Amino acid sequence: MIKIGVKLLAATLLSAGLSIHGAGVIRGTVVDAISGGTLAGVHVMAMRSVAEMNPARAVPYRAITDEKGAYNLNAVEDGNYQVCATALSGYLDTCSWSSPVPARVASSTVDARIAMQRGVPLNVVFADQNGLLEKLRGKIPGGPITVDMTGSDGKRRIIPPDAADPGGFLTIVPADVPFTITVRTTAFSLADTTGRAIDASSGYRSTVRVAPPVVSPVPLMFNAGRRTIDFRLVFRIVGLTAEGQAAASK
Amino acid sequence: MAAFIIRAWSRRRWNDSEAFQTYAPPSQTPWFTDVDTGHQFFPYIQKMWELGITSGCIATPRKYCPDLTIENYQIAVFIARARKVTDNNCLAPCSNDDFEFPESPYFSDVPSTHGYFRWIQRIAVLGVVSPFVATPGCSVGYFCPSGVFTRRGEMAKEVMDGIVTWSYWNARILVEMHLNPPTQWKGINYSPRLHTYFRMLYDWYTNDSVTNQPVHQMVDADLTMLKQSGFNLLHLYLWDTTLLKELRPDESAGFCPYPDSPSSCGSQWTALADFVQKAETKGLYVTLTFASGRFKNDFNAGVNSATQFASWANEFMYHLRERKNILMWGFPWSVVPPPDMSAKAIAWRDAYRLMDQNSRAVSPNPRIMGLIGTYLEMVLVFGNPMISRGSQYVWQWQTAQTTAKGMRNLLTSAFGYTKDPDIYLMHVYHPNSFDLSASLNSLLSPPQNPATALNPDRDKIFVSEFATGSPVKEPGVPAQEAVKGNDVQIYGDENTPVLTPSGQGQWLTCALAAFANAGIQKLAYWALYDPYTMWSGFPWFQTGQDLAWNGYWGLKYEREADGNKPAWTALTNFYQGGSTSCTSTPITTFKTDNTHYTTGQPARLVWTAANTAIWQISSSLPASYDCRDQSSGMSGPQFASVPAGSCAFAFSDPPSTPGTQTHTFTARAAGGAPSTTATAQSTTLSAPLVFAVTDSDGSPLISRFDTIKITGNAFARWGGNSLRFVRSGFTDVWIYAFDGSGLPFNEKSYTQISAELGGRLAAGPWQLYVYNGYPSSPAGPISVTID
Repeated sequence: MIKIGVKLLAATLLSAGLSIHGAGVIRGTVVDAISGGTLAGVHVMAMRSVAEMNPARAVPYRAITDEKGAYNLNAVEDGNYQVCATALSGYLDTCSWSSPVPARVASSTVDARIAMQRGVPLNVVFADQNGLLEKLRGKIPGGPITVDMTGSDGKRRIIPPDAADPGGFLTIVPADVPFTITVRTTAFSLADTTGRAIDASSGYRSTVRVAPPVVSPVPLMFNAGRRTIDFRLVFRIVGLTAEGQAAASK
Repeated sequence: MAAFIIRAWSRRRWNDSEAFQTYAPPSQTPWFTDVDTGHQFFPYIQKMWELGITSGCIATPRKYCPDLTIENYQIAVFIARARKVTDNNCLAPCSNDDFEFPESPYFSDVPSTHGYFRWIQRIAVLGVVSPFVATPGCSVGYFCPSGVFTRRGEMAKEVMDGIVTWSYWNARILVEMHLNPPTQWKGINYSPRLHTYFRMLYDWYTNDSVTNQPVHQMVDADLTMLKQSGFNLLHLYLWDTTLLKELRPDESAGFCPYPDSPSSCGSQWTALADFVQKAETKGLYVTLTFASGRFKNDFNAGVNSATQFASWANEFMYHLRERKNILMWGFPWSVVPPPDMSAKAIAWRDAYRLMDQNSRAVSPNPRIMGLIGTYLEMVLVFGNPMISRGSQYVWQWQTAQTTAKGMRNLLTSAFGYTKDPDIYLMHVYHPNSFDLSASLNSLLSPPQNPATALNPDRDKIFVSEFATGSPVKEPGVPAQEAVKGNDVQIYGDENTPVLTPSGQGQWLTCALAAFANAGIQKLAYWALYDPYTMWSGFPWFQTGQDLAWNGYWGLKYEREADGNKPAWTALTNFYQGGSTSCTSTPITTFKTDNTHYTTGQPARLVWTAANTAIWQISSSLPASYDCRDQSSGMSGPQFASVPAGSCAFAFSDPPSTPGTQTHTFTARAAGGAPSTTATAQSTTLSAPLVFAVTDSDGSPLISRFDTIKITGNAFARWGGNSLRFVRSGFTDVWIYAFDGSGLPFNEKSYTQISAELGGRLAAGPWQLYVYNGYPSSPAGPISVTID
């Protein structure tokens, strides 16, 4: 099932995704950086180096690793590429958290092994019991809430909305590393989980450190052992500010 | 009978039923005139005499009378003496009749003047019999001393094993339950209504904040109701403070060391004893699972605190030594894969060995002989990159078989002989019945590679948690009834195939049928009430989706006036009647994971399905599937038999032209009919949508070192987006995830891309084009002014 599904998908993406075909191949495996175990189902992309980017080449070559962690990017046009891997959970995206693997294709087959570091989910949640988020959907440029994090490297990363949860912002971060989370909204009045009011109009900051993931032996949790335990920073949306009310009435 | 007693004693002492013939061989000179050396049971009857367990039936000439039946009072004598010998490691009589016993009679028909009063009282103290539970052919409160227990030569081996060696079963359970311990565990994970799940014992002696009733009184009423409704088992976790604080940093309800302080720890030890006794009084069994964060962390760190862990667990056993209804001590960790001899593996091995020994023999008063249960890794697979919610629900029966083998290896290395856990705990959440049935059958079938896997005994499998949620209220129910469900549907959530309380009942009916078909009879549903109080309060305040996952699994609504869910009827009918059949129609939901895509960008079709054996996705586009389970492959819009309730998503082929696509999901129950369909639509655009370009704070004023934020739709959630800034007289500036700048580029969203500019753009006006990495047109040009 996996094999067929992945092949079909990869073929589909490639055939639909590229109009430029070359003779080169970028191939390799994606592995866990610690254990060396291969990782299946990881999205791999190869994109032209920035110096070679042009509108015709803004379409990356894509593949998904098979059950053995292997990928093949076929018919790659000659050039210099950066190869990285994305996994939506469990591992840090090498596209943004570590250096991509360079690959120079000259009608040749290039091996590019990608090692992924485990990460932990960082989940910022806005409990919205009154449906206020929906009232402002699409009415405030940039969205009514911005959540970002700044690590010890000083880099600021915006945490994107969680597609599965209208009140959630979700990302994968390195374990056991402190971050400053900044929540900013001028549309909502917020409270923390104890009910204490929070002023996030100019940015509310909280420093968090996410514990490393639990590894086997797996504890049998009373929450059914069904999911990993995310780090959660939870806020409650209490109401609309004057600005929020104005936006909602648009 | 003599053979069974002696074999059991020998096995207890030397781990070998016949070892006594080597290490303590009986005399070859017959002690009884009616049992000569040629008698079938000669060595055993000889040893019975030598250990002082029997003095025979006639003194002169001394006879054993091997063919006589044995009456209840006689078995009381044998058991009391055998226990004395066994517990004191004697190789000869060790004052076998010298023991303490209460002067107040337990049984109405055994007054203190009865000739065998002391032995009958003694085995009641030992818990072999109880005045509260009827023995075979006898009424509650009576012992029936002259009742025929069995023939002396026919006593079941298992009974004597239990009574003398404590190897498998609590002896008192064997006898109390008519020599037939419950093969069907009709259980539930229990917590009182509206009470935070893990706080029952902590709050035992206080009034519930909602009902204003003492918690223990609420429990008492519930247990009566459960017993009357056909339940016979309650499952509890015993967690320490470390574990609970990992889950809720401010939580104080974990077990403190004994004796605990009522002011800080709520007298939980006493409360636990009270809970188990209440259950016993009502004829309910209890299974208890130790969950210690402290020792879990120690072991994972390679710190061997097995002895301390065993002491902690042993304290519970000792504290509950008077109870008669404990079926299992759970040990909620397993070793996967088969252990090496790392420090961690050694710590786990030692912990198992000590737990096992304590529970069987070493605990201060070894009357509580519950089974030792271990978790059977069956459902959790962490870190699947295909599913965004953190863990994947996959029926990894191969992993479970490997776990079982690993546990055998571990225990065998600990004990020196082939040994398995007594019980495998297993969790089952949400699968459709077809998945469940197929996976259980695979689990119970011989493995392909016996060197690394084994199929566990179905009688040892205890599904200690199973449930599905009902996140959405019934159609037509007024919206204010939030306690009935939060009205949030979940798509693409492979764990949640059910959308209504009726669907939950259907799911449960079919899950029970799957268990029954597999011959698995030990069950404990999660939970009686909707335990959303565990998740909705401080510090989690979970969102609607999360509550649908975590908060609406109960058989009864949180608000008493709302009564029972259909799932209650499904489970109690099964527990009372013992049979069920799955005839439910499939339950499905289906949608795309975004509203808009671009040409060349595949839609991700997400679906859930319960009670579904065969399904099909058809659309104006072909779809390909990627289901990480044991199923065979399929593609395209044809029906296929796929146990795929855990897959929950598929990709449609990318459309090459803009337009609207309609996708249809059709699910059929096993057998092909009836079917259920659901449809979803997606819109394909020629370019991504951009609603706004701002700085990170939402301001249109963007400076050179700001983080720029683009909000819109149809961006590439899997990455591959890029931003191209164009300005006359300047070289194009490309910004994307791995553009070599080392600056953050965040794009794992259909609706937002952000990038730290880092001074790469000169101040002034630029035209922005947004590419999503698919061969559609870019969005733009969008005028952006860099300040």
